[in-house]
Amino acid sequence: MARPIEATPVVKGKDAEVFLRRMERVVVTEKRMAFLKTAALQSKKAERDK
Amino acid sequence: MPITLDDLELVRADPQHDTSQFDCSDDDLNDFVKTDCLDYQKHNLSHTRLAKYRGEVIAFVTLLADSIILETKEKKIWLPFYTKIVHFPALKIGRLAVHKDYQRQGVGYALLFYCLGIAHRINEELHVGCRFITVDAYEASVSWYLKQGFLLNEQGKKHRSMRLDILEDENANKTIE
Repeated sequence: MARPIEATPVVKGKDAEVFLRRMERVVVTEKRMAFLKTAALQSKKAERDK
Repeated sequence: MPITLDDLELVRADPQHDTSQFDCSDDDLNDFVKTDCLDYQKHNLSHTRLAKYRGEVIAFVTLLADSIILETKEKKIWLPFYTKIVHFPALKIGRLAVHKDYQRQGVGYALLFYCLGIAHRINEELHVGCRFITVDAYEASVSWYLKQGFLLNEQGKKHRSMRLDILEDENANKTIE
């Protein structure tokens, strides 16, 4: 039997500060949204057993 | 020529798709796709997509719902909008593996691109929040995930838990620390 999928650890201390600061400062660009939209369309197209 | 998502057929893991010849050079990952993934799927613990190329299973990715949890005391810190949030929703890559004969040909990136598409669809089609993609990377794969924009969840420790903010454009946000 393969090892189980592990739980994501709780993020704390300095790591949590960095996490929140980075998340707050993200600038969402049109380019990124277009990239995600393309990924979504291609992911759907690739699924052959819908 | 790299293999892209356009070249792959992604099908749900099912006994009708033969995985007996799959070999990514890692026994644990091989065992998972050959035996365990259907049990996980049956119990809604994760779902596995097999990537077929010219009729052969050459890779797979296993996905499940996840969250990045902050320690309780951290929720008090300085981010007004998020003060009440301690669970940040995520899509987890539980397993991702490529057959040894097809490694270093872009298949891993194609599956990561697929995961980004799924994360976007969770938001835009299902209207369920999903901000991050998480992964427990093998030590040998950490540098590859870093190259794809992932960050370590625990910088101070040699841990392999990583995250990717799906909204973060790596070029536009280069100065963020």
